[in-house]
Amino acid sequence: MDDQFADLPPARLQDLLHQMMLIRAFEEAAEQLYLQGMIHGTMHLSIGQEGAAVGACAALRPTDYILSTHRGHGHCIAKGARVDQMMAEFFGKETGYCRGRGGSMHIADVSTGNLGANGIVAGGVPMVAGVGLSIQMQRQDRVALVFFGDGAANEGAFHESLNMAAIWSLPVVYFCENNQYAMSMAIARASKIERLSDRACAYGIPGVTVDGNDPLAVYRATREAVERARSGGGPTLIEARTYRWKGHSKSDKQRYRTKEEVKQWQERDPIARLAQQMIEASILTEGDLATLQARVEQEIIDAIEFAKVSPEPDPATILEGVYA
Amino acid sequence: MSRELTYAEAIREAIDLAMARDERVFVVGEDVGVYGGAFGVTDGLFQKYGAERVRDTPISEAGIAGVATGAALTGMRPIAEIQFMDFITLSMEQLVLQAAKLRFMLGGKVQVPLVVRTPAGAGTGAAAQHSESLENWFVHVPGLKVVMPSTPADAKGLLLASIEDPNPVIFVEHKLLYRTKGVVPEGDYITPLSQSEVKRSGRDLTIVATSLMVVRALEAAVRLAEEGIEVEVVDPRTLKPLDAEPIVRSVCKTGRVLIVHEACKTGGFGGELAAVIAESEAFDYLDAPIRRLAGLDIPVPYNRELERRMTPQVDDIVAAARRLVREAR
Amino acid sequence: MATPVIMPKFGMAQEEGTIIRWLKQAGERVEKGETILEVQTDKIDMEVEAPASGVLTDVRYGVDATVPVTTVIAMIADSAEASPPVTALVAPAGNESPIAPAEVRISPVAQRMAAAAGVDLTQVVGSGPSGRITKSDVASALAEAKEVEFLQGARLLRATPAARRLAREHNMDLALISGSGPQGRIQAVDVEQGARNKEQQAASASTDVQPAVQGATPTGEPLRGKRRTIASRLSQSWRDAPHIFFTTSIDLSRVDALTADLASEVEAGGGRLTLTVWIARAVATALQRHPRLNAWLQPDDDQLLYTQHSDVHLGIAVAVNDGLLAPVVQHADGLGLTALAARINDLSARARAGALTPDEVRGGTFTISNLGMYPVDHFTAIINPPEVAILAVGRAQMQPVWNGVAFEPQRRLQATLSADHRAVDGATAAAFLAEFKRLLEEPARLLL
Repeated sequence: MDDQFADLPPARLQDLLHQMMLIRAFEEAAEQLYLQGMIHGTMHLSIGQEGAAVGACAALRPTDYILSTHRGHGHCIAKGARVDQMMAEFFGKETGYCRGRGGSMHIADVSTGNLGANGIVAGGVPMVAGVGLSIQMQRQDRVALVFFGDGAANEGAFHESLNMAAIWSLPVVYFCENNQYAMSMAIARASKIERLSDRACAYGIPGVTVDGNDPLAVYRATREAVERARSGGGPTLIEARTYRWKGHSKSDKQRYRTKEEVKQWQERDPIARLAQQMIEASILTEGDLATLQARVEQEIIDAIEFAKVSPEPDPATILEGVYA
Repeated sequence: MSRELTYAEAIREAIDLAMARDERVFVVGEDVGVYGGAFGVTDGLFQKYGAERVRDTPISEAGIAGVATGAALTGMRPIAEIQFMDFITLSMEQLVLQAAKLRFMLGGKVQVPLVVRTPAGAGTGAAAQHSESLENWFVHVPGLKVVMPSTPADAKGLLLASIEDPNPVIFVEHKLLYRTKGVVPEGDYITPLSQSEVKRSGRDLTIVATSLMVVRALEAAVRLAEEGIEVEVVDPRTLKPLDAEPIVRSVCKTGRVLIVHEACKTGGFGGELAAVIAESEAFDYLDAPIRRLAGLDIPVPYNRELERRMTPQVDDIVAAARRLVREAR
Repeated sequence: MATPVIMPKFGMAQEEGTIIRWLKQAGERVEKGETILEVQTDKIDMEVEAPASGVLTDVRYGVDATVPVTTVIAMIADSAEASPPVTALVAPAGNESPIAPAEVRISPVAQRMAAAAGVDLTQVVGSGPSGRITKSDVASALAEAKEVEFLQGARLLRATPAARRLAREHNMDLALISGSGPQGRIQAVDVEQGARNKEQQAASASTDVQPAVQGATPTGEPLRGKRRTIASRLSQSWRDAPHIFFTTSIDLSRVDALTADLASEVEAGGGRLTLTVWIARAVATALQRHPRLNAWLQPDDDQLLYTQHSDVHLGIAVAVNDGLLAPVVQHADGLGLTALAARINDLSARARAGALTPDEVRGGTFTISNLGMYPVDHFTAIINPPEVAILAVGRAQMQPVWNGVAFEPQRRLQATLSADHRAVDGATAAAFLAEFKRLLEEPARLLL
């Protein structure tokens, strides 16, 4: 490819790098806070998958929609959410995005087009057809992108949704983050085909597989799919191959994979990769990188502080939000 | 002006009115278009509003529920049809885990104004997978509203109210009611949700019935009146959120209550009603045990006579009411 | 070593005990678990067992001494010689008294609990090692007893919520209302009826007229008014009083002969000398000689109160329209045949007319029920509470009686005494009945 930076100006590239770093720092902090008992419940970390989230969202406009997954912190940040309100949500505070009612698994920032993380594997997949239909019927200049994992691709609802979006040419992008495991089930054991994007042909739509740890490759593929959707060309199935460095959730002993395998993937760190590319192209210095890192750390410190000082939900409001 | 319409016509009129006045309203489901719906409810709407707003879908009940949820979430007012209530089992995840909970999970920042219309009930010889009454499954889900009209006028007013409502509504129609006729006001009106109605007034016994059973209870009431037993029939109309006050007031007045529904007795809505009554001030006015008359705890049988016996008939209501009043005299 | 004997604490609220007597004297050998003294608490007499085997020494309190609980009252020494100085031994006793009779295998706490609560330990099965009765065994026995008490109590009445509410509002006891619903369920209508009855009774205190029974329905009809009162009282009697029955046959030859002689004279006094009059006279007289049966037995808190009466107030059961009334002949024992006849005549007439005052149906000490006018040979009657006995009289009829040579015709009647076995023993009842029989067979004695 001639333009290795996909037509993105240096400032945008730095934004993407910043976002990836912010996602990682946020999740690392969240994990620490979880281990310290400051955050309860569970959480699903996407560390290692930042390239997919950031690459995909970079191709969307603020007015476009995403539907996210249980591993959705990265999507949320990449779509433009504030980490302080996210952290407040993790703390269960009233100032959190979901007023402390949703937590990590339902994190959403509707104002930036994020219609929500989802606790159900493939939970957002049927809905995206409805969002796409809504855009189409309202003649809006929007696109809906649904994130889902390799596990979700084997849910029945996946089929119904892709089929409907295809027959109606809905402005939808199906973005599969193939992180190799559905909890413990390796994709090779769960699917006979090698490329999940091959499934697109069953619906008569384009399918593409990209390196999910290359944010620019992800960006290019998504940009193409989004343009197709926006111009009435219907949905696309993207498979972004990536890897989660951490366990499925906080209770995962990771018996199903080797440390060597994890290490191999860690050597393909999407953040290091983009930083390296940019340094080599002289659009980023080591100093810039250190500055970025310091900025990210401060953002997380501020976010935690905001979360800590925020008020708890008033128990008197417990019934709110069940009905409109 | 009012005129007689069938229950099905009243529903169609409601959809028509809503679609005419609100661009966001659309119908989506299996065979709702040129076919006119499996029970003909949407007949003619396709011709009037076109394929985009009267949208046929593949056989994809989960997909239909997902489409309705996603569209409702982003500004549309979908009316989804699930061809038989039995099939709603295939839509459960989207309705129960997504549509019902999204608003709450997202801190009250979204709305999911969708309506799922679905025909329930036995009596058509369609056997166990096309005859179920599953309303109480949804009653159990916070965030959903459950509506069960018993008359054409209610069907129209309640459907218009359901379409206007900013929440997901499961609108349960009864197949045997589709052809029943009743006076229906013309024009746009709503029958508010969560408003139980006394369909007949009496002093000896309260019958709380839902859907088709309201019609049967009213028939039974006429016969009981000939025996000198004056029955009050209360129709909750909206099962959730329930307007308990008229029911409690009625039981306070009569001291006796018979609950009638078609769904299987165990785990049915009657249990909830009985509990609501027992917990209320009506407890102190009960002069006989709360009794339920409901479907047998069996899948709906195919055989005509077995099917008839499975669900409460007018004779059964008369007998149960008579027993309750006699034993309490 | 020596073991102290303390004044045990048998009950939660007990603060002291009084020594009734010492069963063992100082210097005597005692075995662990053997009773060594008797103590009276505010409720009950208790035995105190030796907490150890040895020789009883240092008896510090004598008979009639009232001692605070846990005070040391004596010592048990290994041997009399080895008894150490008392002062060194008076250790502060805690709640646990050292009573642990090994033979009966019961923990001290269990024993105290049982004593305090009146649990019969012979009915308790021990669950501890070797069948030792523990605190929890006594607790469950107690719970069982409470359960039985509860089941017999008013809470188990079948009544609808509406009936219960109305009863609360009218301040009425549901136990006194009989239910007209299925299985006797008390319903609102029953309480309302009861409330109306109560009002009417209050309004017309001078008469005992009950409201008439209302129109019948074909499917059964609730008992109302007087009938319900009768039903409730009789069930109570039948339930609570263990009835024993005694029947005797009485020769009326002499009564008949005397009646012929005296009838006109008695009639001049305003009554008729019926068999009932003779029976009443005989009963009144027999009761004076056997006053155990001229009595009341009434529940009083958790006890039964037995009251023997010196005067005989005789209830004479009279069938009326809607039931039975037993107007009372006051001081029947002081009335001769003429006065008795006049009084019975008057009361029966007014009972049938519904013109009795409440006082005239109250205060009986014994009741006679005579069904002699029907072809009833003999029957048993249910005691009219709080009385302890009732006499049921069958019809008089001619019967062949073997006189040792031949059968001779005799007019006889059979009378059956029902007695409350809680208050009256068989022998007492039999003696009364024998006296009654003798008086009627030798009626001249009744003229004395």
